[in-house]
Order: sequence, then structure tokens, then C-alpha cells
Amino acid sequence: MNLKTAKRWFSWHKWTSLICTAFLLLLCITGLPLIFHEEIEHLQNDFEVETVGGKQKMDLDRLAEIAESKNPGKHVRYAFWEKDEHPNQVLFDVVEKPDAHFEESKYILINEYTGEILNEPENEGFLYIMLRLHTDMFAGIPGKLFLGLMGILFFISIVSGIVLYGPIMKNFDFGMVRKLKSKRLQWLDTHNLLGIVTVVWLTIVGLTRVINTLSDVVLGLWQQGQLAEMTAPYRNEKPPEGKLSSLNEAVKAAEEKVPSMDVSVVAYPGTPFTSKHHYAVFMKGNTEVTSKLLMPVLIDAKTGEITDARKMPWYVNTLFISQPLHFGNYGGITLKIIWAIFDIMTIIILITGLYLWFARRKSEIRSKKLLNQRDHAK
Amino acid sequence: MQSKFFKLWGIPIVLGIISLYALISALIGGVVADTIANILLFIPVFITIKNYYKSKY
Repeated sequence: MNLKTAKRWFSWHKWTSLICTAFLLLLCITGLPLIFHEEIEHLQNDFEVETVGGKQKMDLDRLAEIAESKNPGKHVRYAFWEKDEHPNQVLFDVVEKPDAHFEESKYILINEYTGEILNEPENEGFLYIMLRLHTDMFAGIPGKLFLGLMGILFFISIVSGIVLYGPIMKNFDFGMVRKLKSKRLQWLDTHNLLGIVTVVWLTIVGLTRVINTLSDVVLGLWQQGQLAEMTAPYRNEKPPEGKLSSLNEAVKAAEEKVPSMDVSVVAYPGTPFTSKHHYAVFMKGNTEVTSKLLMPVLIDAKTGEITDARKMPWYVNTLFISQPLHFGNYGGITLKIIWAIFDIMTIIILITGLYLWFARRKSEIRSKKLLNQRDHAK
Repeated sequence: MQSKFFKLWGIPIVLGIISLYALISALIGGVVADTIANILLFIPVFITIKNYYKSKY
């Protein structure tokens, strides 16, 4: 590589990194507790419901009524299950209007056997603040997309970093860290070593991050694509008025339609995840991969009959697969610890990079000053 | 020429392949795959720490 090309790559590496470093530091720091959010939540409130052999679970419509009676004037719009992690309990999201902002949601966690309210989790606390800072910096979709843009800059910075690794290290052994020469060389070598060793993890976590920031775009594409196709016959019909068909029957019908899958989420008519006419029962598979994917079964909320059930298109599945790859929550606690170690290594890369830029700038200013002084002396 | 390339890129490429394999196999496979992946992912961490403390330049 000639000097001019190397300088050009260096310039790309410097500027893309400089622009995104502050945001990446924020993401790495807020991401660290989020890796362990399940464990932290478990410590804070632990509501386990043992499976009772022979005992029937309560009717879901009755459970939904309990959630609504706790919040007069509000209605259920989503129901969530986590059958593997927290069996025998259902979480209802209750609001005034189905398209209300998520911050207006009230959450009610209910025991499916007894109808007892186990918890009313709120959008608050340390983890919630970390999550919002991490996903959108409390700035909604624009904040999310902005962080996605920072992710793209980060990717360019990774690629330019790999390209620069060649000319910098070509005369040295792998893993060399010059600790006895100068602080700048020590930090440069640390930056290079950590950078090249973590490069695959950084790229995967960075790119899946960019994909995750596009979740609203993906939702929009799905609404206009597959969802519109599935609900085309209803386009000109009036939304159902009055009492909707049974939630319990809707879930049962979906489970009969795809017996190999379990219910994961039900979206009520009028929410962004379905039409105005349908319950969308999202089913989750049982294998390692299919448990990360969802399949919608649409149920007519007037008649209670199945309208359609389809596998999600590739762009939605890409988003679903990107989520665990970003969160690191798919290989037990050990993988989470590895995620945390790589996260800390990334913080070191960012700080050493920032230091190198600063030290270089300082030495450039100093040499300029010296040259000026020499010119004046002449 | 070839040995020069491997001297420079050999270890980074091997570590890259190990990491990529581990990250994806843990996603696809069950408990055994997860365990192997976790062990494999400790290799780059171990190599970093070893090189950092071993270096006496």
C-alpha cells in the first residue's frame, strides 16, 4: 500500500471513529447492564408460578377482564407470554386506545391458574433508563435511526481499521504491545491488538445493531406488504364495533392451526401489528432457531374464525435473527459474560483510539509551533 | 510472500473464523453447541490477555 492510499484510509478511520466514538461509548456503557437485564430483573422481582398438574388454567377472556377492571376506561391491546422463561403467567398491556404511545401502557402480570395479579411493572427505573438511552436516547424513532447511522460509521471505521492493520503491523509479530517505549506506542499497540481480535464480534454486534434500529421501517414494510395482502378482503369493511370475539377462542384456534408452535403475543385489532379487523396471534417455534421467529395467525375479531396464517417474510426474519445476535442472550450466562468482556474490550478500543487522536493532535500542534519558532528565528 | 502474509494475517484470520463459527453455531445448536461456542469465544480473550502481559518490548 503506498503512503497516499494509507493516508486516505487513515483519514476515513479517524473521522468515522471520531464522529461515532461518543455515541459508541454511550452504547457500550448502557449496554453492559442490559446484557444481564434478565438476571437483574430476576433479582428485583421474582414471580414464578409452578405448573399445577390436573388444574385448568382460567379462561383468557376472564383474565383480560381482570386486567381491564384494574384500569377502568382502558382496554387490553397486547397479551404476552414467555412460556419457557416464565410459564403459567400472562402479561397484559392496557391502554385507552389501541394505537396509543407505548409510554401510556399499563402492564398487568397475571397468574393464569388463579387470576391473581402478580405484578404491575412500570416503564421506569435504572434498567428502563439504560434501555432508552441505548435504543433511542429518549428521542423516539429519529434517535433510533440516528444511532443506526452511527452504527454505519462504526462499520466503516472497523473496515478502515482492518485495512490499516496491515501496513502498521507488517514488520511486527502478532500481539506485540510496546510497553517499555512510550505511552503512545503502548496505547497504539493495545488498540490494534484488541481491535483485530474482537473484529468479528464488533462487526456482528454493530451490523445487527443497525438492523435493529430499522425495526420501525421493517414494521412499516410488513404492514404494507404481507399484512395488507392477508387482510385485503377486509379493506373496505367497517371495523367491528362493540364486543370483540373471544380472546381465549382466538388463541385456541391459532394453537390448533399450528400445533407445533406456542403462542407468544396477541395483538388486538387496531394496533400496529395487525389490521382493524383481526386479532394477530403470533406463534413461536420450539427449536433453537424457530423460537426466535414469529408466525402470525390472523383471526377475524367479529366471527372468531381464522382468516390467514403465513410465515413472515425474509426481512422480518432477518430482524428477528438480528436481535439475539445483538443481545447475546442465546447461549446462557457464559455467553452473556463473554458479551460483557467483549463490551469492555470495545470500551478500551474506543478510549485508546480517542487518546491516540488526542496525542497525535498535540504532537502535530507542537511540531507546528516549533517550525513557526524556527521560521521566526531565521 | 506467502509466509509473510500468514505471519501478518494468520492469527487474526483463525481467530475471526473461530469467533464467527462460535457466534452462529450457538444460535443454531443446542446446549452442546452453546458450550463449545462459549469455550471457543474465550480463545480470543485469552490470546489478548496472554499477548498483552507477555509482551516485553
